[in-house]
Amino acid sequence: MEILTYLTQGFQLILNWTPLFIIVIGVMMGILVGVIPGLSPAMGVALLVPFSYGMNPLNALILLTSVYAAANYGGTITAIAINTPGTPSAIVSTFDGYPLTKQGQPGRALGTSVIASTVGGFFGALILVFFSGPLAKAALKFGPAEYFALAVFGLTIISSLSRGNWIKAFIATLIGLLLNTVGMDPFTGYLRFTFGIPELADGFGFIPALIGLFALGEIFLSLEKSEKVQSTVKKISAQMPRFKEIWQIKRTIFQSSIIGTLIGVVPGAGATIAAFIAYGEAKRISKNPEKFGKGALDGIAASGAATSGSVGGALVPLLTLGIPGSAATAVLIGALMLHGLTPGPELFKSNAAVVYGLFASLFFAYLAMFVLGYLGNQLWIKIISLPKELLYPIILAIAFIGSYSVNNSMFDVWSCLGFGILGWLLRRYNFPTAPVILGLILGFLAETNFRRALLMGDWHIFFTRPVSLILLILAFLSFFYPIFKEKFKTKK
Amino acid sequence: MAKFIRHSGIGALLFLILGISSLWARFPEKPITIIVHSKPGSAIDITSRQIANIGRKYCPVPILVENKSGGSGIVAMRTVLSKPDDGYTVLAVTKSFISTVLLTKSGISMDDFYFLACMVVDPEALITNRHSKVRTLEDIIRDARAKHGKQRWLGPLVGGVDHLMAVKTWEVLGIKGEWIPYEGGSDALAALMGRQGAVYVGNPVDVLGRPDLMVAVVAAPERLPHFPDTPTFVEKGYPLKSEVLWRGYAVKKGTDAQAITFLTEFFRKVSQDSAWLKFVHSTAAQPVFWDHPTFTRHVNHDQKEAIKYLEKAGILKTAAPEKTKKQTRTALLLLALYGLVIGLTFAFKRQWISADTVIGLLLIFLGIFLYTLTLDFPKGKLTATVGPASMPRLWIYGLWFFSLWMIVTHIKNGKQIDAAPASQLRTPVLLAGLMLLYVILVPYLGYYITTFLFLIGGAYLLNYRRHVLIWATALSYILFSYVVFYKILQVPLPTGKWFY
Repeated sequence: MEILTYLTQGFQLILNWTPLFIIVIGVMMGILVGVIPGLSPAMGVALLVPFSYGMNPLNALILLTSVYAAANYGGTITAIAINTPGTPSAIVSTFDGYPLTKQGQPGRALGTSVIASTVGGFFGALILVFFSGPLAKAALKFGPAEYFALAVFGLTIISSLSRGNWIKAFIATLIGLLLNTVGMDPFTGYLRFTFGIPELADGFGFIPALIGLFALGEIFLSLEKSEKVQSTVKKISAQMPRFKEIWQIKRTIFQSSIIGTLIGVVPGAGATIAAFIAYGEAKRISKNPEKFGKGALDGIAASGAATSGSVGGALVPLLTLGIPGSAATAVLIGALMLHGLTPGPELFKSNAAVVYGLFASLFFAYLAMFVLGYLGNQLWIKIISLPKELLYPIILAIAFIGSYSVNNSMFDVWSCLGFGILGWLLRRYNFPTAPVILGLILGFLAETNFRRALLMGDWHIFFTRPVSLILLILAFLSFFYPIFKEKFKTKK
Repeated sequence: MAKFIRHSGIGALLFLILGISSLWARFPEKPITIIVHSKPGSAIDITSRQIANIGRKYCPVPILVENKSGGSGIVAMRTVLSKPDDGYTVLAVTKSFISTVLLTKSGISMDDFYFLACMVVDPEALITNRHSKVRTLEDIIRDARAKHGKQRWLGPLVGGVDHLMAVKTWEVLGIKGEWIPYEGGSDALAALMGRQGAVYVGNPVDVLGRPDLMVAVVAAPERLPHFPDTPTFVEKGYPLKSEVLWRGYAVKKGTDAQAITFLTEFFRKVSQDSAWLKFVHSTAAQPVFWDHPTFTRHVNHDQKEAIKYLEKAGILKTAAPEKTKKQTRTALLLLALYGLVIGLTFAFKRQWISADTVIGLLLIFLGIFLYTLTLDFPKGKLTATVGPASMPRLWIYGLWFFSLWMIVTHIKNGKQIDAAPASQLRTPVLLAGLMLLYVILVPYLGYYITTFLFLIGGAYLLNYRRHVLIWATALSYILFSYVVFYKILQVPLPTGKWFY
């Protein structure tokens, strides 16, 4: 149990005023960054890199990972409160979180999210500490065929998002997939569907699309629906979820934490895909799948746990292989090198104190996140208790700043507005908007890996590699499972 | 004649004023911004932030680093070219910009910039997996011959610096390989660790901390101090003497001479700083200082080479500009056809008209339009199996299928489902309009003023009349965004042409 000895040393390093203070500051900054749409966890980490110059390597690393860990949770707050995902992965939290807020119970939603995020984070950190070696080896087995199969598996959760209208969900997904092909073809450099607009060379920004489709679309639609803008909003209750309620969804939290961590390990897949898949699986095991999309606590928990779990997961390839598992860990690599540390297996030998100090700090970061998140919920509830007439313009202004700050570009603001109108129109005619996002996320993963696999071999590659084959079979099963279930029920 | 005198008079006066003011103004008197073309954390970003940090000693004003990512550098280049040529906006440049300007047809050329100083050169290297059978240069050549052009070379981006290095290497070694592009260098490195390919083209820094990987051969004039056991191409008898990835700094051409002198001196001082040297050595790269003439000579030479190898790889000719005129004509034609079909249905089968059928048909026509665009997509070497057109087409087929299905279901069911709640269209449309106005005005009035006006206008538009609360919320939001974005996170917000 060499690991435990090291870990104890790590805890000894962390249990000092300076590191603990840095963790609290980092978590606060992380939540702030997460809450602001447009500032992704990666951006948050990058923004704080200059602050870490003066610190010793361990403290610098603690600060940055605390920010990273907390930012992933912070995004779910705005998602639940105002239907504006603060980070890409928080999009899944809007599915059930926002409906609960609309029902006047934001406290239950926010509380579930912080609890699930904390558990997921702890889980991811534990896996990171004890299983990073074998997991990293497994992650290397992921070739183009496996990534493609993973993308297909991700796409199958359309059936969980369709809300009754399959055809429209498919059309929405295809719109997302097509939008994703706009921009420079990753293989030939050819500009597809850009109509001579230089900003489109990189395709549509993901975050502007998210903010537009969800936040803006929701505002326009709800203004249209309400006969007159009511000043008497439903009474908003600050009540947190009861322990019993959380205990009932323990299986979902547990399962989503595993899914989140494992998908986090695979470089390039990331928190958003993890959250989507965890949500789909949570719905599949749920006894009341019909409640999903209307404010199911399991749905909120699945998203929160998977997102947080992916943090620990993404650190696995970073620390063991020197390969970033996510955008934020890519920035971490840069920060490590600034401090003269080279991430990779040698780090465990040459700088074991730093590595295990970092591990220990993760647990404290999640603890701090839990406390701060729980206290902070009262503040968020106050903000969403503002009258709609004041809140809506503020959300639009947040959408502006959010889409602008991704690339410091006005073009992104324009595309956010465009996506807002698209989202409004789609919702107006009963097309679900979540599949559009799913298409946008998975389109790139699917296309590049499909083509890369075929550059390397022929069609057999998808079925002769075991992981790819298993994933494809799972995809097939989980896609048709709801249909079989329904058929079976009606026959009975 | 009188006119001429008047003009030359004004000219002389202007010259005098400018001359005096430039005597008065000493560069620099406000912060200098370095524009970086990639996201935070990339090599060039870290290098620039290091310079900003170390350079504080040598510069009386703060140096800021701003990331303007997009279009492989086009967005950053355009940003710098759009700023005044006063030397306060410096562009961080890398060799990859050459491929970018050649491939994107953006109207920008390397000649638009004045190259101040090159600070770092990173030799190109072939990297292999220590545990595979292909480790050394000899292994690579033997394996490539055995595989008849099917040897997999991994790396980022087609047409980028590393790809061109690969093409050049193949030519020099007399072998052929298959370039497998990845989204970024680290993805390709992971693939090499997973032994999905034989060779990775990159820089020595890529093997640091990754004991599974090794540098097979390096394109440097002599062995690198960090890698004394790694041979060079020259030793092995191949003329790849100094293939380097350079990182340097440039300003817009025509920048004031005083600014150029100051900045050149600034970079020269940084390049001799011990902290700087330590940093560059830690990344296994080489610190250099190329002044303007040397740097420009390198850029021009590399550009000539890039054109040669881009053509050889069959990339340059495929990047044809889009035919906008033809596209517009097709779009208009299809729109007219769509109108005709809707009109005819309305005239003869009015019961078929509904939101679903109208939208479904629109999507089908949109699909046709996009399909016609894919006809122009190239079919080059890298597209032999599935080209750039394949995936969009697949999605278009899907769109057609499901749209048609939607229309047919609707017509079969025959009942008019009123999907649109069309009750209160006025308010959302007005609010969307206000947002549009907001976005239009920000570049003129700046972020703070416009946002303030927008928040107040929005609240009144939504029929809220508690004046104090409205103004107080708007003011506190502005304060909040000022403190959080400007003060704490130091994220720049758009400034206006007329106000800040």
